[in-house]
Amino acid sequence: MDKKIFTVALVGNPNTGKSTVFNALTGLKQHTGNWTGKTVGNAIGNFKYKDTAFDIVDLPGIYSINPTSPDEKEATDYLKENKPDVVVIVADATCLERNLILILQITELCHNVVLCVNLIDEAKRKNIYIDTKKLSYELGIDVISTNARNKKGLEKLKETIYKNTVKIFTKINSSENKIFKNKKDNYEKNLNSTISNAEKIYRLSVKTDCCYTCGIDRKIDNIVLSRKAGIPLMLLMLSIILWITIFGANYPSHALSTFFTFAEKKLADFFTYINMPAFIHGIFVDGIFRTLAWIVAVMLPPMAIFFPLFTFFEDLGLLPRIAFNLDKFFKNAKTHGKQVLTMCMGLGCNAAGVTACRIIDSPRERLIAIITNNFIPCNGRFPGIIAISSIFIAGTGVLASLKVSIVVLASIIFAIFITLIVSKILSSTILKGMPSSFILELPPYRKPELKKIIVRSIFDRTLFVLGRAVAVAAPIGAVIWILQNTFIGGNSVLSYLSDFLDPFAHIMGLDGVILAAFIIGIPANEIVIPLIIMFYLKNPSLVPFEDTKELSELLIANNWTIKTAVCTILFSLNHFPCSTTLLTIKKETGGLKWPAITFLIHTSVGIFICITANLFMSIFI
Amino acid sequence: MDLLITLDKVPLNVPVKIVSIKSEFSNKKRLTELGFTENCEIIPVHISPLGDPTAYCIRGTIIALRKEDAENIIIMPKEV
Ligand SMILES: Nc1nc2c(ncn2[C@@H]2O[C@H](COP(=O)(O)OP(=O)(O)OP(=O)(O)O)[C@@H](O)[C@H]2O)c(=O)[nH]1
Ligand SMILES: [Mg+2]
Repeated sequence: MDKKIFTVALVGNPNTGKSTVFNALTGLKQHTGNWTGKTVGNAIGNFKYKDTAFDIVDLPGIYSINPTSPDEKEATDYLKENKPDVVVIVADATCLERNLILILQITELCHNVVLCVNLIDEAKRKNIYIDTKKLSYELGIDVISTNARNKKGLEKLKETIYKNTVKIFTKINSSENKIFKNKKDNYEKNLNSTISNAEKIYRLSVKTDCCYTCGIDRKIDNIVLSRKAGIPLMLLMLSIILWITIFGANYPSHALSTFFTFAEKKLADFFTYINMPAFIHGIFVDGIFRTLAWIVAVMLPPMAIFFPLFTFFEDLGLLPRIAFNLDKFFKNAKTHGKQVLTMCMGLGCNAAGVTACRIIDSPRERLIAIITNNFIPCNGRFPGIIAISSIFIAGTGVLASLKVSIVVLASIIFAIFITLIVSKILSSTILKGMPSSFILELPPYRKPELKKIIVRSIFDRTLFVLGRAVAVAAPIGAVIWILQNTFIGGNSVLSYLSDFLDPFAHIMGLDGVILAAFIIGIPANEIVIPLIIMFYLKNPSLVPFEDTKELSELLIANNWTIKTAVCTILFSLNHFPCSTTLLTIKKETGGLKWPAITFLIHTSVGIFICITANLFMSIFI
Repeated sequence: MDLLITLDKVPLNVPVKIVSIKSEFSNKKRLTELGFTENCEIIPVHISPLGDPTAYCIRGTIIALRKEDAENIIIMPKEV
């Protein structure tokens, strides 16, 4: 007989540890996070138990089998269409009463269900005792308790999954599938009886003297969500993250720049030594090498530091609390409360932020969140803002990195402000409507796992950015060098472009080179600043810069003033999305219409803001 | 009908019981799935710094609702 590969699906309420169980079983690195809605698409992995192979699917969290939002639909569609051999429900031991509603719905509709009562360590800490035997008896399915984070109970889980596949053979005939046959009007009637059933089973199998309203989480929230401290605390935390990022990035940046300057000299010497033709020398050393060196030395360190810090606060459980504290602003802009969560994701990467919008159930508010996500500066844009503000705004000295942090903080607050304004305008024009709701679970605070955060940021962020730098920046570096050194009628091709853009760019407080760099930088935001520098370095024999002093001399030599700096930062905050984000918008909205609208909105907002700022500064400065 | 109080009117930390969710409310299904059902105890535990939304403790979980949503949930005082 052919060896069958069995499929196992992980389902359950949001934030119960499905992805953590998935990672523990497969050894893969699905993203986990302490908030509802971290996983918005399916992930597939596999594991082996006693020479039986299993394919396992991690699904987004759901509250019921009747989906409300796109991410939930993804999960229920999977169950409907793929009919997995074994369904593992991952439940949160600390709130089993609510979890039981979904558990009952699923046992009613699927065969071969296994219940994995996860987070058992937290339950114990909260004095919640679960009688798994009783639970198993009442539900008529196998029940295992696990602590997925510390990999406890997972062998037992595998064994149980294995045992349940044997059942498949014995009741091979009873495979009529009941899934999702129930009609909509029956659904609500059934729901009420399911819930009273859940209450009954809960009373029979769970003993607790846990006081949900007086635990440590409520005490912390009494400060974090309080009227006086709530918003100042959030700002303080953001400033600390930014300051650590900026201050911490100084050292590796400096060391890397020194190294690359040295390496470039050696490389150039070597090329001269083997008599390499000048144009190859130019493409490799002045084009590719310099762009890469700049990205690695200047862009990478802040990204590599910011990301783990951000993940730390995410794991702690702060993101939904930020959404809670700021919701009123979003309600006034007539948008969904969960938009804040998608904006937080956008801080890491706008494409990820756009995908995260699947957690928003109303199509109108989801579109607004998708369109406006790019106003939040992503990780790839911070370093440029940091570099420019440290030259023109902060100066040098002990307080420099503090001043730069304030500029970046102000940029983020400004970005939130613009997001709210544009959202409000959209809500009253092309996406008219009333705000739907804010139904959001506040998770318990959890201790972040430092080791995992660091490993994850190295692999997901640092190596990812490096990979992208090689894949995108290197070819662009080469192409730019060629454009810069191909002359038609005495002028380089590139200078035609920048000369063409120049008059308009000046109205915006920029110059043709800056604008051209933004346009050519569409594939990746992190190459914009390196491009500007390369354009200015028209004479390739110019010494490469080792620190910000040389960079500032270069910029000043090209007529940069504080006005240029401010307008460049503003345009970096407000300009067309990068190509990855545009493609993601196309994928998420299914067509060219919304990416095009997004492009237009961001471009015109950027132009408008720059022109206004330029005018304003010309009058007052 | 003095007894028809809605959830948004309940002061912090006062436990009450849910009577029903207004049937015309569009989020009724979602709230029911979250365990907002008749006779269930619910306690407002936090108010956002800006005055809205409010977080409620229900069935061992903390769920935040905007005022507009809470207005659709009819409650009665919990008899002692
Ligand atoms: N203490 C403890 N924490 C856990 C356990 N399992 C998961 N966690 C933590 O719970 C949080 C949520 O885990 P995820 O695996 O992202 O949850 P999920 O069910 O995939 O969530 P969604 O994708 O949003 O539906 C993470 O911060 C995990 O580290 C456990 O057994 N014990
Ligand atoms: Mg997940």
